[in-house]
Amino acid sequence: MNNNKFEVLLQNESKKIYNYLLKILRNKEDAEDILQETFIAFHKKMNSVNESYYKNYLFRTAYHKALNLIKKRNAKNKLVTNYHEMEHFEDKQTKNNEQKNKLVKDALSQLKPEEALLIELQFYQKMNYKQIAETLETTQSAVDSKLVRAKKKLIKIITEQKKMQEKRPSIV
Amino acid sequence: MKQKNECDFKKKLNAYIAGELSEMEHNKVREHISSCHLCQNEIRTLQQVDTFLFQYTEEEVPAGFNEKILNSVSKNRANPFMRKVISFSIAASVIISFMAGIMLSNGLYAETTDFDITIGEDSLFSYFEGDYDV
Repeated sequence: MNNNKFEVLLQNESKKIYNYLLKILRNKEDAEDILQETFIAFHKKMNSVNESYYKNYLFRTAYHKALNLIKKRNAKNKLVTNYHEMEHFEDKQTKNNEQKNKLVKDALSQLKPEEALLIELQFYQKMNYKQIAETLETTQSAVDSKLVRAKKKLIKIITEQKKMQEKRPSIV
Repeated sequence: MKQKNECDFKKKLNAYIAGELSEMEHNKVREHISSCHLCQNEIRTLQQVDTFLFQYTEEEVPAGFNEKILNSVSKNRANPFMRKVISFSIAASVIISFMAGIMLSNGLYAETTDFDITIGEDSLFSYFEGDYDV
C-alpha cells in the first residue's frame, strides 16, 4: 500500500523538488543525486511521517541534503568560481527560457539556502505563510521578515545582473 | 520641513502583496498606499522580484529518473529482508554450534573421565595386586 503511495508521490513531487534543487545547486548532476537521496531517505521514514506532511518532509530533506552539499562545495570555493565562469560562457548558446532560468538560478544560489527555500515554498510551491511556517518549524512573522530580507537581497542581485548584462550585451 | 523616508506601513507590504493580511488590515494598507509614494515605490520594487522569479520555467526530471529511484527503493526494500535472513542464519548457526559444542564436550568429558578413572583405578589396583611387571 505504502509503495503505491510512494510511487504517486514520486510522480507528483519529483519535478517540483528537482526544480527547487536546480535553482539552488545550479547543477543537474547534483540536483539528480540529491533528488534520489531525498526520495530514498523519505521511503525509509515514510511510515513514521504523517501523510499530510509528506511534501513538507520532502522539501525539508532536500534542503538539508543540498545544504550539506553546498557546505562541501564552499570548501572547494575555487572550483565553484571556475564553474561560474563556465556558466557565463555557455549562456551564449542557450535558448531564451534557459537564459531566464539561469538568471533565476544564479540569483537564488546567491541567497542563503534557508532564504532560497522560503522563496521556493512561497513562489513556486504556492504555500501560504502558515504552511511555510509549519514546514520550517517557525512562526509566520519569522517567515514574513525572512522573506522580506531574501527579497531585498534578490533586488540587489538582480540590479547587479542587469549591470553585468549592460556590460556584456552579447552574453545574455 | 523634515523629509519622511520611512513609513510605518512598509513592514506590512510584503504580507500585503502575498495576500497574507486579514481583510481589515488589507483594506487599511490598500487605502494608505493610494496616498503614500514611499509605499508605492516599495511595492513596485517587491513586485519586480516577483516578476523576476516567475520568469523561471520548470524543467523536466530526466527521462527514466523516477523509475531509477523506484528501482533503488525496491533494492533497499529487498535488503532488510535479506539482512534478516542472514542474521537469523548466523544466529541459528552460532546457537547450534554452541549447543553441539556443549553436547560434545559433555560426552567427551564423561567418556574421558570414565576411561581415565577406569584405567587409573585398574592400573592402580593392578599395580598393587602385582599385575604389573616393574
